[in-house]
Amino acid sequence: MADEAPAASTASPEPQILRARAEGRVSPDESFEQLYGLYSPLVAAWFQVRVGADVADDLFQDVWTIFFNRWQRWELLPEMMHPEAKPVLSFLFRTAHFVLIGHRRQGAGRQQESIEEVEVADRQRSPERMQHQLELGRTLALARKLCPPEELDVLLAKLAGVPAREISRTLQVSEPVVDHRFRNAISRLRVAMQPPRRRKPRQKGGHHA
Amino acid sequence: MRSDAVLQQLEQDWRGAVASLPGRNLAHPDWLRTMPPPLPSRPAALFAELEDTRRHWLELREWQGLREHAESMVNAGWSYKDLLAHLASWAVEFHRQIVTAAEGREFDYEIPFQPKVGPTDWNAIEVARRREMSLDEIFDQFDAAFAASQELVLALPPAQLTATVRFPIRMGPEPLVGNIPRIVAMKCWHNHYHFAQIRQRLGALLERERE
Repeated sequence: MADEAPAASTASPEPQILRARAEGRVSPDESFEQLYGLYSPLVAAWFQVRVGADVADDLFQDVWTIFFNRWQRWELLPEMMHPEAKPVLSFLFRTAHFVLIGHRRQGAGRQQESIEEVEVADRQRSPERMQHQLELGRTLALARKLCPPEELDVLLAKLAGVPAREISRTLQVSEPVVDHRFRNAISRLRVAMQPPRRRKPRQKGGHHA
Repeated sequence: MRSDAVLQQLEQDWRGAVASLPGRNLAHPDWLRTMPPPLPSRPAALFAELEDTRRHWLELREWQGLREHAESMVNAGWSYKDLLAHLASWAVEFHRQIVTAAEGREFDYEIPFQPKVGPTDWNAIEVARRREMSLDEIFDQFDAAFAASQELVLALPPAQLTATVRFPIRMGPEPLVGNIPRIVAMKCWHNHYHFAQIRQRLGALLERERE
């Protein structure tokens, strides 16, 4: 079924990193680096899909600065070691969501601009920053174009493997609403990706070319 | 096209997109290794820190067990309601400090901290002031102060946000010198410390009751 959690939700190394930190086998700094290596591309991708590359860099740093400070005093509870718990991924999603709200509330958001304007601005960026630009495939580009923000929130979180409970908690909607938004986004894409139907040639009764 | 085929394509695109942004090629977190480590200081980040605190507060508000045990003692001196009143009093004081700092005014009062125990006299007075308030009034007071602080951090120009300020908090002979991001970090840490305390102690109490 299309509304099942995407495959990204399985086999995350996060529980091992947390366990190693809890058992004192790695320092907070070492485990931070491992988590940064694991999740920084996801956080960057979330922002690039949502706001474009130029703003994404600042918001990305905001999220990691917040997490870095929180990680120094992170309370490692036994339930966090469960393979499906992913508290760090959930925290990053939640923080990214709040940073995005703050950014938009500040009035500096570029959400009023069309996707074309964002892409033109992205192409004008410096070469090294261009290297970090997201390569959107056709389906993801369509999702960015067609899905309203509340569906895109769910879609990106599910693709990254954020647990449904945490998506629901962050977005302050029930889990059935999360599923509903996910299904809506998929249907929207399905309709957009239908190959165009070939029209039957019309009978040209009584008409001669 | 079937929905599962759309999803499959979407997952493939997502994996490709993430792979196009390999972590090691992104800005290396050297910017996090300065001493002391940087605090979140841009408006969106400060907003996010405060929003996270507000959401945790909202979850406490919705916790039926906390309402049922509002008058139970969380420590030798305070009930859970007193502890919430303590957090509300600091939320109001925190907002007052941000407003004063943003306006560039000097503080005409001070809050002295005792070593290890904090500003016990100030805390006792502020909690006593809230004894007649209902639990919902306490919850509202905290939330309103944090919401107003969020609006302020989004509205302030960067220079004002990071300007050096002599705050009324005095932990030794001198007042605390810092900036708005510093007191946002301190306040959010203080709240999270007490939120964890409430969850652990009340959680254990409810567990004992169930047994």
